[in-house]
Amino acid sequence: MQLLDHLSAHDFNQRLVRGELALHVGPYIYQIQSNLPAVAAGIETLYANFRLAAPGEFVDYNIAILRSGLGQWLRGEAQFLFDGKSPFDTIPAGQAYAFLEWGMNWCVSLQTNEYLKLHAAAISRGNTAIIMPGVPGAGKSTLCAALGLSGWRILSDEHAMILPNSAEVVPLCRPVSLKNESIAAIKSFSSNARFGPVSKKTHKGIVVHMKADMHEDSHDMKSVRARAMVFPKYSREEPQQLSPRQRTDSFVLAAYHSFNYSLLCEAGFETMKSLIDNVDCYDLIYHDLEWAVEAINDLPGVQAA
Amino acid sequence: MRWRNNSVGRYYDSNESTVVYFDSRSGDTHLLSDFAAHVMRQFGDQLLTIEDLVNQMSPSLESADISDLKDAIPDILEELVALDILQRE
Amino acid sequence: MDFLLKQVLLEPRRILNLDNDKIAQLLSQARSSRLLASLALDLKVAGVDNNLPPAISRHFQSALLIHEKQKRDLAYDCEKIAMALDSIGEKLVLLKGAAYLLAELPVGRGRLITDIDIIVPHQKIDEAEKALIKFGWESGYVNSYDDHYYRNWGHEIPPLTNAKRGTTLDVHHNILPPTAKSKVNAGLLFDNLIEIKPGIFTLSWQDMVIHSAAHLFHEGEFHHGLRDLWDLDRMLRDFPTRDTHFWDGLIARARALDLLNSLFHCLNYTQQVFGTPLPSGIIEDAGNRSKLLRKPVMDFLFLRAFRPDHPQCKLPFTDFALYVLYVRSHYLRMPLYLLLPHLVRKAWMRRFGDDDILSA
Repeated sequence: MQLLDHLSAHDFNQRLVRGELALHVGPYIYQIQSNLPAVAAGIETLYANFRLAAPGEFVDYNIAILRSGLGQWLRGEAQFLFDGKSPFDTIPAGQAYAFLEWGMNWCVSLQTNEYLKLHAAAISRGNTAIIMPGVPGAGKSTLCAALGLSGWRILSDEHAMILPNSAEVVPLCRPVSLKNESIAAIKSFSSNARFGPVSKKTHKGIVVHMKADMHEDSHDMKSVRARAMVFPKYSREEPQQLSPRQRTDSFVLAAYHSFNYSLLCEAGFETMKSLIDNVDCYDLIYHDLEWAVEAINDLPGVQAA
Repeated sequence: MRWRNNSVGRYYDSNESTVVYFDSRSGDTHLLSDFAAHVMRQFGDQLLTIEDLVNQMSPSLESADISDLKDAIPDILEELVALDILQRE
Repeated sequence: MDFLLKQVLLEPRRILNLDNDKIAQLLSQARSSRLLASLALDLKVAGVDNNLPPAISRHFQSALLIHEKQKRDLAYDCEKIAMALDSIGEKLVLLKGAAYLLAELPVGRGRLITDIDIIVPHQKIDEAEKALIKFGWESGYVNSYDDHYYRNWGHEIPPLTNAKRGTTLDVHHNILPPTAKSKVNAGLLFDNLIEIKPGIFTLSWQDMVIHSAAHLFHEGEFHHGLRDLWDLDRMLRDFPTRDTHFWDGLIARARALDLLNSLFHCLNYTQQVFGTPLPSGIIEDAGNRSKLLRKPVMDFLFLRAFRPDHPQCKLPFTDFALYVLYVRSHYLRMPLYLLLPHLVRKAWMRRFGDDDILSA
């Protein structure tokens, strides 16, 4: 089993430029091509411990972030390519790394549907997973990063993938996306965080990705059973609290935040039913990360660290 | 006026104040009040009037509740029709 | 001119001899041609889908799920559209993808759709629009130049949308714009409708082929060119088994609709690209001397368009051919004196935004 950081710097760069860098990311294999230094630096830092695909293995997603032609060099633009074609507009080259990560999300969000995919972060400790769905700004990524820095294993920052008719979360560990104020919040939370390149002035503001595979089991492929679903909400106005919420409206909210619940029809309904039946549901209102991490640590049914 | 169940649905009922209802025809998922879900479940494949519904539901109720039931049902039926899971004939 | 996707579409078992790299190429060609679900169903019908490893078959399964969901949503939406049209005494006549899917034809197997196309008689179009709006559809067009353009020079009204369902409905009164070189007597289309469900109709088998051909060969962009040609191949293989007289009047029908040119291209290219079985001599019957003379040039252009929209499948001069076909389509749809102002306005609006320039 070869990991990315087993490659020499030269070999790594050659593979990336030629589009021959193929990585195992959760249950998928991405083949990545780029001629942008920031993208190379980001991958080298954030994916150092990811497994390389063996030659001839089936590639799920063929993607590239490329700057091609004099025009794009002069304008400082680049392009995200999927299957050799660009599904989006050109992007400023300074945001290339963020777009690589968004492009990688886009592949999972749109192309495969063998799991019920919730728009949620998922973390685990031992054989217990917690799912944290979230609207933008709810602070799910910040909380996920903080929990990752506090001994929890990050299963995913963006896609909680549930095996059909179960409450089993399939790990898809990738860097955690942090935006604007949450970057400083995580830096002051822990000095152990490692970051990729900064992408400025994106449509979401400043974006930085944090290395997510900090746990010894980070690259374990086995699914983990969910025991709780926590809906985080970042708020300075309201008192911090963790409170139980109804299963049925958690069902509908999680379905609303799913990428493919409605596409899966009855199968989506049945899987969501199995999941919700097996988890306790909570609202978590917080502004202090230390407090929020303690609240999650103390959830009933969750093993102590 | 009579009503009939217009959908083939699945319920997720966890003994809470609301019930999740998946309508296979439209593919939509609705959050119904437990009372609305109870009304929905009365239909099966029958065509029912408000009288029929009240008669069917009343054995489990006190007489004071029955008049409340009569008042509440028309609005509930309207809502279910608006969701296109119940049809007025 | 062969490419992987075509080989496997025509002979699904071939997938079993491909290595992982080739299968990845096949998937991406199929995806960019919008044929992944069609390929998936053909693999299923050929019984080879079970021989694929899960890491590969999940991609096919995913495309199939989308197709099946579209089919279900379509059935529900059509029921509602039929109710709306019934309120003004009109029946629902489906066109293109929606028709293929709801009629459960082989051409609808795995076919993905982006909107629902229907046709109503020209004189009923305003009434139909009002009825649909009453039943929850919205006319979202805010730009009055586009609105004006649609209503005066178009063969359809501005698209209607249903926010609750996330569906777009294109209501046509003809299959080509009135400005097109071909003058289609759309009234003829309503003569031989086929009822596929109570109150829901498609065009006749012959008209479906002619319409699909007219649409493809008047189209400016060929992102779905290969898919559209695949539709035609599927229909030309299937319809003669449903109607033994299918071939008999086909040319006469196309001539009556003033679409013989499109039918000629359709027969020529389905046969060249997919080897569609045709009665002998039919291409010559559909063509005339000038068409047959121009055939080598048109073949050069179109055979480049009927390949997956994918970098691996580009031949020399593909971009040039696509550009020539783009200009050709505008010329076919609109006389030059209308085309120039239209393109100028389009350029103007791109430059200055969608202001209401007509009233300005």
